[in-house]
Amino acid sequence: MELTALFLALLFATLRLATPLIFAAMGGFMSERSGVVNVALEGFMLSGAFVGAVVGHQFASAWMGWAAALLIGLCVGALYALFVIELKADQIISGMALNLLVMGLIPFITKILYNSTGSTPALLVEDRFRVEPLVMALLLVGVLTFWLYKTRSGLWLLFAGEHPQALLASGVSVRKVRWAAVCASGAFAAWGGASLSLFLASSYSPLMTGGRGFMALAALIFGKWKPVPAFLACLLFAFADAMQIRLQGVRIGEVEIPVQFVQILPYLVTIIALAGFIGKSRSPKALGQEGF
Amino acid sequence: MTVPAVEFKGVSKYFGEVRANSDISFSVLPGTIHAIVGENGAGKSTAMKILFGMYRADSGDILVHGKPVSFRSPIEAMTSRIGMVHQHFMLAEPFSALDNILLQQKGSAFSLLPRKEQKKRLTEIAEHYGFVLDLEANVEDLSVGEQQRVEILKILSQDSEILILDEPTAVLTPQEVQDLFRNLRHLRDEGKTILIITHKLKEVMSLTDSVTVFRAGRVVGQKKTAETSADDLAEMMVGRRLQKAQERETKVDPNQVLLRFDNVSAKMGNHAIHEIQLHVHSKEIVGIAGVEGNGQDLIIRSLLDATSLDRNSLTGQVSHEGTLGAFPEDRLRLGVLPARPVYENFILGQHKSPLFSRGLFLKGKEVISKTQEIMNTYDIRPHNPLLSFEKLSGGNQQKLVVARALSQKPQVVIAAQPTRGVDIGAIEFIHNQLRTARDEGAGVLLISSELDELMALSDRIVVIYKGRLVAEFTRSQFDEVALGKAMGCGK
Repeated sequence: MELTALFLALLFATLRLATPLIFAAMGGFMSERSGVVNVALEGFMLSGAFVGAVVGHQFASAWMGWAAALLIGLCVGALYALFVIELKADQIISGMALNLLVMGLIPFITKILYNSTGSTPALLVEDRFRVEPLVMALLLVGVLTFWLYKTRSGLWLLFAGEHPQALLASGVSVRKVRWAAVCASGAFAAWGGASLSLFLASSYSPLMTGGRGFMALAALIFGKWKPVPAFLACLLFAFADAMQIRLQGVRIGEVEIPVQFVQILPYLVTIIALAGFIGKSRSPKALGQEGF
Repeated sequence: MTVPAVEFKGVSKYFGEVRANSDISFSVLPGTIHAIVGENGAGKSTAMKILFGMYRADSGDILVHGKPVSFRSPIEAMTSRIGMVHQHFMLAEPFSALDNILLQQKGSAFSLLPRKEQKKRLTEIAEHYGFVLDLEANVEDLSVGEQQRVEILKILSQDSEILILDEPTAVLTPQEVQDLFRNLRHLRDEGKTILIITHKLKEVMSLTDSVTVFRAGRVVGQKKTAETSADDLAEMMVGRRLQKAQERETKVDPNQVLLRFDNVSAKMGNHAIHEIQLHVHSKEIVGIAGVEGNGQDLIIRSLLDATSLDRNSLTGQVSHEGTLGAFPEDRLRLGVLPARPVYENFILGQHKSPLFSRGLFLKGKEVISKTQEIMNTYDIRPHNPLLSFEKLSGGNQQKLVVARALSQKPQVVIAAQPTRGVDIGAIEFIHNQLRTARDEGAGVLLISSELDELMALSDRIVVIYKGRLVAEFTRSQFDEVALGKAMGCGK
């Protein structure tokens, strides 16, 4: 009986913790499938988490924060698209620069707004999301899968990342497809961030994403750049995260395992997954190809 | 008098200083197959790209069915029912043939893909023209010939009346070429007009109704195929008589084995070779015939680069006597540094020899003067060792790779697809170099998918099929049909 309860608790914790990863992985999916490398997911998430928390607190409504995260996601996505698609800047470097930009801007703004070093005031518990982001994340995976394989623009996305010349030859602008995809990528990843600050926690705390943007990227690669397998990879990483929380304070005999070691677990799983299986994963052929 | 389906009137096109097309005029009657022949760089592709809207002419007129046209993009050309199959297919490999064709069709972004209806429609078109094709298969699982059919079907599904094919047989097996020609004749009989860019004159003779010859950006002749011959066309293309291949005067030295494969098996990913037994003697050229991907590259790797094979999969004995000279099949990917100057590419692999280096430094002057010398003797144009490699034309690139391998007078020569994508003049040159190396005592292993080349050079041809050597022919037994059959089905 106790085992079942433990199992259910772990399952629900896994799903909750997977929510930000799923959103971010779907964001990465949009961008990378269109042929644009996206290491800026972390920055997208942070901006979504922060703006979501600020606006959510301001209006005492998680939904307002959610909408604000969507807007800021579209904006940072567009900023990234501007750099890599229009100005043809190096995708990795611009992505990292965007991460650093967001990490620098947030403490600056919190100082002005709240005279704090990075945290935002907390939302009331009853204003927080209960389960909505999780449901939306699951829906998003389903909708994206259907859209990708059944609709014309889904095919465009696939070709933009695989054979942009062919897409161009059929009269569709690769540039526009990539713009749309990268903006959507920003929006989804920002929602991933907002589900951290409005769902898993009730406020923004400094660097609260803790590398989840990169973990989502890893899940995407581990899932062969496909929505459902990437979703499953997110569950795996989230499970490791849930275990990690569970294992904190556990003793082996007389010795308590230092919490820092336990906290390594999700990152360790990520590395092992990628190192062990990346050979079998095939990236979109035109990933990182510029000039369309 | 019928109105020509396509007519060029004094078309010129410049790229900077270079005159790619000057004053091109010719016409193609509807319902015929018309060949555009010429050496690499003669301007035949440029002319076709102007017709297809990829380039715009600087002067002159193009008439389609008697009406002047000037397409600003391929999309416009396609709406005027002109389609083009490029040499490098516009197909995405992980997706199905059907999806690749559906991509061409217009429709709103969020509409569902009409896969079912279109599959039915495309199957009908394919059947109508006698195509065999699995539309559901992923492109990467289709043979090159089938991929080409996908491209042609793509064009046909848009009701194109004029089809342009750029070097359609370059990548096909003899059997696939036959299938393609049958399909093309069928299309012509249905009233389609077909323009085919090629430099294989035998194919021109067997397939086409009329032919236009390009040389150095100009049209040097338009003929009815029935009224000309391959020799005449070759002379027009090159501007001089080609030498006949002489019979050899030296003999194979059967006592001196220079290269041995004894019972060699190896694996790399999905490819494998099994129990390869092959000896190459001094003064001998042994040809390996086979459709690409049947294990040719593994034979080369077992000799040159065994570490790239699957671990512990190599069994049997591979050995050679004396020095080795090799040119890889995909020169741009494996053999050179395209963005670096010619002289650096020339010394690649020999850069540590005392001839070219002193300690950690290159002897710049010596390297450049040696390269200059080689470029002069082998006539690699332009004779400028400081130019970056990618600025050379395909034929001259290949000549440099050949010169690099042969200038050291190696005892064993590995020549993989030595004349792929180069023009008649360069082919003649490369073949002569290989013959010279042979006469001087080298053993040559020639890997090629061109039967003409194999039969012109080899003393012996072995056929590789699914990783096994399935047949062997000596010079007196050479027979295109038997060879083609062995390549296509292993018997």
